[in-house]
Amino acid sequence: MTGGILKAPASHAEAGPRPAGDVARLPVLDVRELTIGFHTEGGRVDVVRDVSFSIAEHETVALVGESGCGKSVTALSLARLIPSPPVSYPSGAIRFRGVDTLAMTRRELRTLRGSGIGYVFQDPATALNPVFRVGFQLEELLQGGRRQRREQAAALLERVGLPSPLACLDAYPFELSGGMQQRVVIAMAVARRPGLLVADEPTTALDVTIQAQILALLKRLQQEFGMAVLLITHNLGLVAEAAHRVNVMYAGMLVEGGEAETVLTRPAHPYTRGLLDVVPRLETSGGRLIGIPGAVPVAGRLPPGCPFAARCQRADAHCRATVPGVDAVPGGAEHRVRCFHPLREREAL
Amino acid sequence: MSADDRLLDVRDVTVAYPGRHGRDGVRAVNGVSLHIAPGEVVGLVGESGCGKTSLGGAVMGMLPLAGGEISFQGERVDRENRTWMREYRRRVQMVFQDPMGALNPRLTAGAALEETLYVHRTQPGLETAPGRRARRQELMAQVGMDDAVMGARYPHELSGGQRQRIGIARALAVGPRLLVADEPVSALDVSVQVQILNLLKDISEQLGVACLFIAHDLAVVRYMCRRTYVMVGGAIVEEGLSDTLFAHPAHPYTATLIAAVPDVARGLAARSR
Ligand SMILES: Nc1ncnc2c1ncn2[C@@H]1O[C@H](COP(=O)(O)OP(=O)(O)OP(=O)(O)O)[C@@H](O)[C@H]1O
Ligand SMILES: Nc1ncnc2c1ncn2[C@@H]1O[C@H](COP(=O)(O)OP(=O)(O)OP(=O)(O)O)[C@@H](O)[C@H]1O
Ligand code: SF4
Ligand SMILES: [Mg+2]
Ligand SMILES: [Mg+2]
Repeated sequence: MTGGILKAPASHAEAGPRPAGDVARLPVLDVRELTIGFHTEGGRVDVVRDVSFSIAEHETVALVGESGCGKSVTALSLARLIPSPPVSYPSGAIRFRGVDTLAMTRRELRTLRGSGIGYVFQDPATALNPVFRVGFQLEELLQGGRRQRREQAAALLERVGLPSPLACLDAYPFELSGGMQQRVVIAMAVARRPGLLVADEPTTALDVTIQAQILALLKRLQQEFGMAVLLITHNLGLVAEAAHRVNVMYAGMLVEGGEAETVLTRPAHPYTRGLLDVVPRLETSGGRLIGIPGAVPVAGRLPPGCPFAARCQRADAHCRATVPGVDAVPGGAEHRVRCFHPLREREAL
Repeated sequence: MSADDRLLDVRDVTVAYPGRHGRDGVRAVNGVSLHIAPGEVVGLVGESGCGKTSLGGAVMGMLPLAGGEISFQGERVDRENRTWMREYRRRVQMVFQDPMGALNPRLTAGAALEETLYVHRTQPGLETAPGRRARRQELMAQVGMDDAVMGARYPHELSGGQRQRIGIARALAVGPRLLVADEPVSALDVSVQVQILNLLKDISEQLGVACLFIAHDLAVVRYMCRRTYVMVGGAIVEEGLSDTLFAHPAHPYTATLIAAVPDVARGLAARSR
């Protein structure tokens, strides 16, 4: 079964329908009140704080936020890929199909990494071993006889849209362009049909036509075997097209979450609103893009109150003194925000 | 613009990688011509694997040419002429697609910058350690990083976006005339992208640094570049003023690219259908 869909002209891969009643089912991934710290010379620095989210079968949940806010650290922690020390988990739980990964033995973790959670790392070059041919690295993940594995590997490469799969199998990673490497990494991540695919900026090295192909492929795999997807991206256009739900992270905390459509059309947190306002559009030419003024506070030097206060036009004394808790946004199903003065519908900043 | 006013002139350039075990090699770039004026920011877009990075490598003098010629300020780029190339490598700097691969894992961000400055210690202001330190601080501030905290971190302790900023600071370190920026902001989130794009724009406008801006994000290219070249399968298929090109694409590939750009409004519209 080689993906016939990939031969279709590039089209928008909008998020597919979710089976009804999925909310009640056991989520594939459930992260509860998770805090992640790094041990540094100056003591423990918590780069992720009190984060909760879940992903069900067939579902794509996006995680967005400014560079350095903790997205990759969160992603890598799911299968405990950062050695501890330096990393530690002072509180919270990560459950994969109901089992707490923070309590897993080494052996259980190996199984989890092998076939439970597949990763597309942010940096494709580091995910590939430079001294082995692509074919060897991909075939190693597959089962069956040599011939069979080779055929499967070629089929996978075709599905991720590589023009000449057989030549690619024989190539060393450095002989491929950045985008070609990225697609090999994606093929490797889905080779074992993982229950959860963690895709950290999976399409940043790809042009838009290939990007659409990859999104279509992920959607197809979700339909085939119910794969859950955590999509880490800074591209809100991608979120709109591919994600069912979205979580917005700021300085290590989730500041807003909900159905993608709700969050993108009626953002409640001033930061989310700012992100939506800075997206460069194709219609934008010349002039100057307006960013969100100021910078993210550095982990370990966080202000006492709301982490966004220094950049927020709505901040008052209360915001600067107290960290806001998570509240439901009226009117939005499961729409949550961490802000004392959330925006109402279509309200200006 | 007459040929003499050109900062960079790429004429009919071909780049080929040799094949292994007697197999055919790959012609990654096939007879490409393009030019850049001083201070001009020029876009290069095209599908993955079409030869953009290879062309960038040829401009940098890192890859041999299988055909054609590249000249800089009217002088031919000659990889054999070591003395000339040393000066050329100062004037033409690269910002890489893969920030991790370009950084030494054993050097802190600040040390990496100082190392670059030390290599160019004959340049005015960089002769002494305090001079280099001051320049390092200036560069860190330019790319929006807190030198006291971030300068002491190793590459693996930085987020992807933070690493890319260090890469950009390094490219700016010794006052280049031309930057070859290969997907410089694709690893950055939108709000940081804006800061870096504005920074690159300021640099080109205020310091007159030209840029060959390689990207696949058309919105970014349109914002950054007055002129754009579109590449398919190793050849340039369309070129022109960005505004015209994006409003009225002539080549079918350009049109496909424009139609596939993910966009919040369009994405939401597509799913409610
Ligand atoms: N090994 C480490 N030791 C100390 N701090 C670290 C380490 N790894 C990451 N950090 C810090 O943790 C924070 C979160 O980093 P992370 O890589 O998760 O960011 P990110 O949200 O993925 O950003 P980007 O969009 O740039 O990839 C950053 O401030 C980073 O500097
Ligand atoms: N060192 C190498 N040896 C052999 N072939 C190579 C080498 N580097 C690149 N190629 C091939 O040259 C072609 C062009 O690659 P290049 O990296 O220039 O593409 P690109 O346009 O930058 O793509 P991307 O957008 O994916 O980065 C590809 O077919 C690639 O496989
Ligand atoms: S809590 Fe206050 S400072 Fe924080 S985002 Fe809301 S309004 Fe702004
Ligand atoms: Mg990251
Ligand atoms: Mg490239």
